[in-house]
Amino acid sequence: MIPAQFDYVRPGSLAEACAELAADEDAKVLAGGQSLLPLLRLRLAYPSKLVDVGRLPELSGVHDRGDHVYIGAMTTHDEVIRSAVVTEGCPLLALATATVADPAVRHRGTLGGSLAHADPAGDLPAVVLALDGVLVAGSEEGEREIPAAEFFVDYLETALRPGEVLAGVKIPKLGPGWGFHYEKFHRTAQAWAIVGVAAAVRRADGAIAEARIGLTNMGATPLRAAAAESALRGAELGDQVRQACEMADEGTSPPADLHAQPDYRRHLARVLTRRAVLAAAGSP
Amino acid sequence: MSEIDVGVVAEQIAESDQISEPSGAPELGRPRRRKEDGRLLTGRTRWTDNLSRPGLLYVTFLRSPMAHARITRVDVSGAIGLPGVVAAFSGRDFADEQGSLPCGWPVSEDIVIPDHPPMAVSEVRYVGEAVACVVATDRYRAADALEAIDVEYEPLPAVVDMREALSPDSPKVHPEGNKAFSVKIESGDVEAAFRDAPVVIDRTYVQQRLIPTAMEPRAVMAETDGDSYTVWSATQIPHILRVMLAVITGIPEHKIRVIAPDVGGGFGSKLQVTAEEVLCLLLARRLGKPVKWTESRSEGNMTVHHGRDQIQHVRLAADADGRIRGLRVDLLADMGAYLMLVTPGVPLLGAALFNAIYKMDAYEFGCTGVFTTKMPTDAYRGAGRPEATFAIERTMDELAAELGLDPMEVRRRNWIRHDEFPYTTVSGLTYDSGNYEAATDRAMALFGYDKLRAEQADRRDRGDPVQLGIGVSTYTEMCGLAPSRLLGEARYAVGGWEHGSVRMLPTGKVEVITGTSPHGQGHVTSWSQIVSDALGVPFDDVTVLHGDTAVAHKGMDTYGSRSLVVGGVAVLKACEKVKEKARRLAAHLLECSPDDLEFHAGAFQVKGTEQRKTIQELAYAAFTAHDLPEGAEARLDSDATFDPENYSFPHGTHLCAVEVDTETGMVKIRSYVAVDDVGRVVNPLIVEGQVHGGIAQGVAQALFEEAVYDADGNLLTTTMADYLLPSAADLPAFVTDRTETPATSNPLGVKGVGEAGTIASTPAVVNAVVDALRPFGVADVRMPCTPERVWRALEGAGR
Amino acid sequence: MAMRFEHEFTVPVPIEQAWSVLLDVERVAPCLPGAALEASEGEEFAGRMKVKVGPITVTYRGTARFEDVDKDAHALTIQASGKEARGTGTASATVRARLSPGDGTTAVAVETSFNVTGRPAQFGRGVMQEVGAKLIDRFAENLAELLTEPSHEPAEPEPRPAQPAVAAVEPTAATMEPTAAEPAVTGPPVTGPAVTGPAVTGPAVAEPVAAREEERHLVAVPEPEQLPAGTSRTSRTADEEALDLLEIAGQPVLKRLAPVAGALAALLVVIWVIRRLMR
Repeated sequence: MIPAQFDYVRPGSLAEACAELAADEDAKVLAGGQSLLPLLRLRLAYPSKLVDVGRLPELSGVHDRGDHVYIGAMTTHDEVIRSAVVTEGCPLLALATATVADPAVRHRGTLGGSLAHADPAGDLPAVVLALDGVLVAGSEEGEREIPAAEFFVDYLETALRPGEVLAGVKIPKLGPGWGFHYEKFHRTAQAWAIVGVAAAVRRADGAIAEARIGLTNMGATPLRAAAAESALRGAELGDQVRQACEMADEGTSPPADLHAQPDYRRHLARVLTRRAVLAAAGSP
Repeated sequence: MSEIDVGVVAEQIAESDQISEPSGAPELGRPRRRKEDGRLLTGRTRWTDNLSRPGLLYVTFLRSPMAHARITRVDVSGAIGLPGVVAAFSGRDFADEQGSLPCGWPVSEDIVIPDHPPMAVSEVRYVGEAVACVVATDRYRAADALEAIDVEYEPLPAVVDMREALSPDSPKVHPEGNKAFSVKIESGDVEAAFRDAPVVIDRTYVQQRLIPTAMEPRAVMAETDGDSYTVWSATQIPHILRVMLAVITGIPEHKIRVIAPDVGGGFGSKLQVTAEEVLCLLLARRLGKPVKWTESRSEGNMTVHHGRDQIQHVRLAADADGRIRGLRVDLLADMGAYLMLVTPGVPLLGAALFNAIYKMDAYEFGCTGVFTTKMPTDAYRGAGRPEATFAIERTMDELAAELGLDPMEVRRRNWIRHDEFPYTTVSGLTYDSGNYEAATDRAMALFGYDKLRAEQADRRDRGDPVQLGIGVSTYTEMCGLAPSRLLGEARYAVGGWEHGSVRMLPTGKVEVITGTSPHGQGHVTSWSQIVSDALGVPFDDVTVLHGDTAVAHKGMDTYGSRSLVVGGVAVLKACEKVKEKARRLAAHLLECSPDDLEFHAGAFQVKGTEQRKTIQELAYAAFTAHDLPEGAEARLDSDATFDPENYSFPHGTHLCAVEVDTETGMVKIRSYVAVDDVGRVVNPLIVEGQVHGGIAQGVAQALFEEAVYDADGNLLTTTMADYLLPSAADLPAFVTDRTETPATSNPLGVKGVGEAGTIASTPAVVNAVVDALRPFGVADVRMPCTPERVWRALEGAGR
Repeated sequence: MAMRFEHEFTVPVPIEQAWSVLLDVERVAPCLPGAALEASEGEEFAGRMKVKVGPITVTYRGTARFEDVDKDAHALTIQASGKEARGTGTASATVRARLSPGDGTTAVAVETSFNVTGRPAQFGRGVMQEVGAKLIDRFAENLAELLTEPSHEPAEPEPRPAQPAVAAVEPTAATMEPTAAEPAVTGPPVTGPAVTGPAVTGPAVAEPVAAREEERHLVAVPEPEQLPAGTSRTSRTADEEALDLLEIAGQPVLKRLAPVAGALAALLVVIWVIRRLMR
């Protein structure tokens, strides 16, 4: 279909973009457009104005900042996958990003856009949540840091305030000894995840010392499998891990749709978490 | 003098010409790259939506959000006066001239063909039915203006489920009731076959509803000069459309020209006379201005006719050794809300194919067409034949399982042996040729059947969470639609002949005009190869014109794997007529008897001499007409129509191995082997492409695609996020090969290949899935075999 | 796309008090977030409702008429319908409410069925069902809270600690039919429509939490572990403008709306009908 009429502006600075958004509550940020434009075309969204942040210098670039990697919001998925800073500093993000949709989408879609859209079926929110990322919001007042755990508030809703634009995300580097895996379960290559599991695991002495698990599409927001995480602490590879991962769906509230009912999603979360954890632990 | 001149001119032409490599090896069988592709792949295309006319206006349709409702009020006044809006109309505004969309296949005496106004006037019967339209100066304004149209509906109960629709207390889709027709066919003593049968397999299969999803969405443009009309449409059937538009609108046929420019796929979905085509023509007439409509994908998912949607009750009686005694088939076929062009005929296209390649003495077929408040169904790749093939091939696997036999062994015990052809089946078709043994042996070897069975046993023994399943499909189908006589007996509204013309141009080039209407099949290339061999002209010297009723004046268009078998042969026959004319001219010029000439490599040569005339020289001689035989016309050009005496029957053996993750239910195709026998092959590259695409589409039905309506008749799969199409990333590398058993019903020996892959592959994949799960107690998985369905089947079987 | 919900809850006020509050449109209407009255003409009432979920916006306009208000039985049935302001879709609702007297308390049973058509009904990935359930839940919760209030005057919003504030309203049944005749899809009921968002401030409530907790009528809870940790509500401030749910509470609560919510515009209007009857 064809979008309804809207105004379009392309500000030259982040401050200008924030001012545009603050001045018009029905204005929407246009990043890579891979989520927003389909909604416009389906006429499920009627923004009065699109504020194109595609060329803001403040939102670009991937930076190694010692203890963390800073990724500008407008970094495309393709740039993330190809960035040595990312693949070395936060390989889990690169692994998951490589599973996003198809090459055409990855060349247009951005990390910031994906996070700010906050679709729980998107792959990247769960990854940033699992990695304890910190989202940096810009506004006319300056920058504000929001931990991922507080950023994803509800379905398609974030903690961003009116007049704020997601400027970038800080991903803390995990030290040596960590392994990573993103287990995405979907029916076709370009389809959304029915369930996805992002796992970061640190091994010590043949057991799991620490695990961080992010769940995709298991609720209104990306979720941490907190019960499984704590049960995994100290779990030996094998039955102990298997048992711990049986708790992966605790505290989730998975949706029902054409591709899966909640009970099946819960089952998948348990199986996929085990697989992701074992793969991250180097023991597929 | 004329002789010398002709030679010089011909030589000059030959030298000055671009490529014109002399034809050496026969063209038939050469893997020629397609002539069409350079232009298509570099964007120099003429899709209907690319076309424009001065002053073009854009049409959008307001569509019903209700599955079933009375329209109590339509107020378009809000749209009129908006910027750029030229006009807005409701169905009532066209009630007197829009007629009823046609059904061309009234399959039975008792059939109910409800009135089907292109734009609903008083009642809507499916979500997406057009109720009003806007014409504006651009498509954005036209879309915006739809929001200003006010429609009031009085909801009526939706009728979604076929079985419920047939219950006496079901709400009615049409006043006449929900039964469109019922048909029964019986052959042999079915009662006797089932009486005391040692084995009876009784199964019910669901053919889910599918959305054809051609790459190019539909588009229509229409204009008038005040006297005559031109309609451009992304259609498979410009010729049939022209006739139908004349009948529906009353505009005289000779005042209508229909053009199918580049058309990007159809799979049967563009074998239709659509509401939008009729309405664009009427809007052009009403406004006197050119108008265009292009659908969006989500609009198309709702309103392109759907495919399949049958419930098949199959009972098969067999002896203890697996020999089939008889077969009973009861179909419920969902028509949707109306009968469109061939809606009721689709399930019957499979009626004679449930017995497939197997010998049996008794067969009974019944089919009831049912109205529901959903988008009408109609032809979709295979149209009736995939459904039949699925049912019998699934059932043969069930028979094998029941008897503890290898599925291929059960088939071998029942199929028609090579030495039994021609063979008249229990359903009355005469299969002219076939070699099921050869295709199967080749497929088994390529597949490594025994090795995979060993691996399967090993995985079962080990309790591997990933189980292996092996699926078999030995199919045949019925192509080359069709013998007009048989179509008439089946109450089909038109014939099945095809037309071809060959024009010899003065410079020796050849212009072929075909009545087929290619939309991705590569007719330009294949017809060039046929003509190149027939006339001895270079492949590159042949051009093929099609898809414009002002150019290709006769034709029955493209569907049902008919184009090569009927249209290609018509072109060949026209070439033979050209050659006959050329022979007489050559004999005249060479002063010999026509019988003294032999035709070789594009020239007539007097036997035993060096004296010859090339076909190009003769074309020029005919053009100048300086020296023609007594009574001859100044042209070699010829026309031919071809109407085959029988269908053609491609067949083959497809084998599929799947890995089923029993923890998640995910099915992954591990390997796929297809050995098809499509008769003589004109272009192996094109055949290969058809087989690959066909398999992909059949796999898609088995594993991925399903159009889902909710209980209120809302289509839930309006976008590709919910209607899942597989891409190359989701499919294995197919291993393909061929056996070649020529058809005897046409001089080319060709059988058609457009649907073979789709027909064969669906049961191969589902048989493989069920084969993997059978040790767990699973005997069937409904299509598409989604991970969740497989998982639930395992859970339900208690593992 | 049809959905059906049943709610039962008990409020610690006598039935006549609850009944009169239920019929007080100006107070009941804001229980439905995002709604505004536009006009009342004759027997018909018109309202609109704007629903925002992230970038998704759907605005409905609706009218309603009552089918039955039985003062003696303390029962009412309302039929309502709405249309998208900018699209072709529709929403309709049937609400049946019945009050039953207890010992100084009132048991409230609300059965809501609604039906949505058009693009929102076709927006896949299951968003709609879940959001519809949450919205209905929210309405019932707010209604429960309202009926509990001792005063007929609108309570001033007053900050409260984030803890269980009012009677948790439990869905007693939630059914929907996303597909026809397909057990694999229609099988399990939708995820519990319990509100899972953070608890937010709401007006002071007279009754202690524990007392009402005991009075919950749990008939069927699809996902036991999904019991609401606390109820949250939006402000019941009258607002002429269509409300963005996000903005009402001043913080993100109940954002999980879907287009479906539009059906509830009808529900809102229903209440106005009752008001008219009282005049």
